[in-house]
Amino acid sequence: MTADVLTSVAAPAANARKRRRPVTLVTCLIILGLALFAALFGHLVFPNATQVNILQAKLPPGSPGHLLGTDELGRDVFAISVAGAASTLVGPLIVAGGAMIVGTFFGLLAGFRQGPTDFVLSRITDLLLALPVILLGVVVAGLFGASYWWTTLLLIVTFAPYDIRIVRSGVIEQVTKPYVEAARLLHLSSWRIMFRHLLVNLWPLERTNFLLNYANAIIAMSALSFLGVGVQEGTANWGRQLIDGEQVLFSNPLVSITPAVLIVVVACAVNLLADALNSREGKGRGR
Amino acid sequence: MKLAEQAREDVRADDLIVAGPAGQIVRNLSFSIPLGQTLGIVGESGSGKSLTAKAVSGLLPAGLHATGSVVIAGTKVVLPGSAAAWQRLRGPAVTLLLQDPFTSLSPMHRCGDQIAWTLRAKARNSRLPRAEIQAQVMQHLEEVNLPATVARQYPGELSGGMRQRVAIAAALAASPRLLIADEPTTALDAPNQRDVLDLLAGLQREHGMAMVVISHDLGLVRGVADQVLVMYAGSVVEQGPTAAVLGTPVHPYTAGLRASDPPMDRRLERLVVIPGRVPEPGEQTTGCRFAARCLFAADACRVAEPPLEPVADGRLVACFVSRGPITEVAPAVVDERWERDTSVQAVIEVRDLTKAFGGRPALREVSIEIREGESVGIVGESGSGKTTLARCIAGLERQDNGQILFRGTPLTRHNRTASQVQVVFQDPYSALNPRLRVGAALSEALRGGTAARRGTTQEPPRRTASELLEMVGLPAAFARRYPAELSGGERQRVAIARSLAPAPDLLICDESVSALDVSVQAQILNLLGDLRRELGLTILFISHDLAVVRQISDAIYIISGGRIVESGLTRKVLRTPQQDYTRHLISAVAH
Repeated sequence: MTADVLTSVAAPAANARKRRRPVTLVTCLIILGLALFAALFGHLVFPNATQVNILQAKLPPGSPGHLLGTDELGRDVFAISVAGAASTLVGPLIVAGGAMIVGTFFGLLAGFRQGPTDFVLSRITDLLLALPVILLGVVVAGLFGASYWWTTLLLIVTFAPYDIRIVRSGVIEQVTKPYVEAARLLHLSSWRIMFRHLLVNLWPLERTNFLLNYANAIIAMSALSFLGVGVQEGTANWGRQLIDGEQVLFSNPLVSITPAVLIVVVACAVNLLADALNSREGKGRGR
Repeated sequence: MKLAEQAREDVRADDLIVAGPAGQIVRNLSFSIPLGQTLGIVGESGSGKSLTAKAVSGLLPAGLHATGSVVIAGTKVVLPGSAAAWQRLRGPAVTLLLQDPFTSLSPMHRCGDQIAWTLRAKARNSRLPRAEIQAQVMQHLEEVNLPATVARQYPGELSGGMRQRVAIAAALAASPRLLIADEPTTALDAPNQRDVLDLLAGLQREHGMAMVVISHDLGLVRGVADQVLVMYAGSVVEQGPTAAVLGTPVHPYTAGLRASDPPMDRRLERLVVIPGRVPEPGEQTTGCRFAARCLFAADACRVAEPPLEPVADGRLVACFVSRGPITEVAPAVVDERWERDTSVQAVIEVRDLTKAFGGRPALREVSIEIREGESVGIVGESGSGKTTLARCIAGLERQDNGQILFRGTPLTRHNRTASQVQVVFQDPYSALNPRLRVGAALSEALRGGTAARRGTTQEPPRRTASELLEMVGLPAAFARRYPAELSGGERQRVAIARSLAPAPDLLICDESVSALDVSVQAQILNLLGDLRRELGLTILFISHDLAVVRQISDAIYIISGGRIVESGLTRKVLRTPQQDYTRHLISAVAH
């Protein structure tokens, strides 16, 4: 891969653009494929990842049988990181998906109907946007107890306003185009125009926004877990591992570093995937 | 001899080739322009004329590259040429004047400052005193007949014609030896077009510079160019003195282009068309690029590409078949003895319609009538209110005052149906949903239209998507295509098919042919004529182009400043206009 990048940099600009994109895309897909595998099958590969074994606590990296060492409770860092993929990555997926569905529905409605509908929806959106996510997370946890699913729901509610705004502005841009006016003249129903004509043309916007939201949600959920608001204590989760590692930072720094690196790598891969898909779209699209 | 030739030939280009990832887009183009003369480059979209201009000014977009050489003001550049070389040449040697004065000027800077930028760039390292720059700016504004106050104004405060004058002043401030004007008047209304063109021609003589005028409009080029170069799909097909090439064309394409330009003084039974479509840039073909659309094509044309060879009277022609001027078959002229039949019911009657946008009136008490089976034209310049009127009739805007009667019943927001009025829009690229196949779009329109007719006395004509496609002259297989796979003309046909799906009582064509190439425009005008005859269609045709309206409309309304200034039968209004404004519009058509 290194060689590939080097030759492409040396090649003329036009070639470099053509050749570099697939490399980024493929790298991202490999990383996300591994993450997905870990999320789906991690608990099968390491069924005992969360089992406490005080006798083997705080082993340094490179110990026999524990390549990345163990944490304070004697859990293997590699095993728990693989097992933690599910709780770290699935919640944000639901957050991004939920925010997309909510955002698309209300964004389409606000942008297409305009007038009073738009006014009411936009003010509610403004209100939600003013809420500090992390603080709200702590408050909700205080009221209902720290729960993974409450956190997920909370993040959907706080992420959706961004989606509403983006979809709404996309709709407003499309609505004046002749193809939408032609659909109006044919007296097609508003729902049909919104969901058959407008939605397909908003897809590039939706997809990009979904991926960006996903990366942000991974970080937000990890942050909440780090604060002890997300997942229960003892659950395999990258955010949770960060705080657990704090206790053993000097005996085995990898307890914290491993999940931190994983969060950064996966979030970056998702962001770069969004980028790569966008530039392919821009190149491939006709007039 | 050699020296004398060099002195006369201020600008020359040799073996110019522009290539992109898909192949050659401009092939083997050579020309020379003596000082003080103008070269016209004529061609439809995809002919490579704009890329030629960009190659000669070193402004090709990334991904394209040029070979060949250019000599301007005694400096030779072997293309593509280094950035430093072009930096020295652009300005004092060559300047490019762009089509759209709405985007080519910075909206956030005063016009005077934008002219001053050129002056400072010309002065290079020596600093000009502020007063000196001011004086020169005023001088350049005066040259383009603009008042000195324009210097303090922003482009947004000026009309299109004034903006293009500012752009010309800025271009000429560099005192270039070669001015390239790429469609300099296309974005302007007819009266402004004429003024800007006259201005350019005058300044060119005054400054003794060479000029290249690029246009799709034969009439425009005929008026200003000494030499002309006709391009088709990246190749030069005919080149020589303007009077000869455009007066008695030898190449079938030039002849076709000339014939498909609609005349304003008579109505033709059918316009002469060049069948088929312009190939996409970079599309690979064998033999003559024009063979597929050529009426004269022989077997040899499909095998090899004809070279550009000299024919009599100093012109070059690339054709195996045609050796002399092509005599046109004069198309049948329609005998227009038609009169408006006042006993027929009006499909749409507009009474005292008034509409304002943010306090600025767009329509002032407009009244028009369109009777069953009529084709009525509305002609006006941009900003005259013609599109607003069309949108009010279609129900896309709501009028402030006045009534729109559909067969005697006032139209409100609640009694409109799809089968009353349909619109064919101007831009075929945005009129179709890019993510919907042609067949799906048509089927959907058919379902909507049938629902609209239900319960009324008129039984809907049951059509299918493939019947609609056939009606507009497209093969049924097009139903599976996406709009991106169609050419501009094909898209406009699909848009027409879609608007016909609900069998509307009135079809509004809002500048429906003005975004199309001349050869395609003629095809669409003929199609509308055929549809009118076959279906008894009632058409409201909105246009800025009198010649086009002459071909399609029986009656005409001239609109200006939101008011109908003159109306009547098209032939009478155009032959004996009663109002000064109408006379002004007619005289501005450069023919």
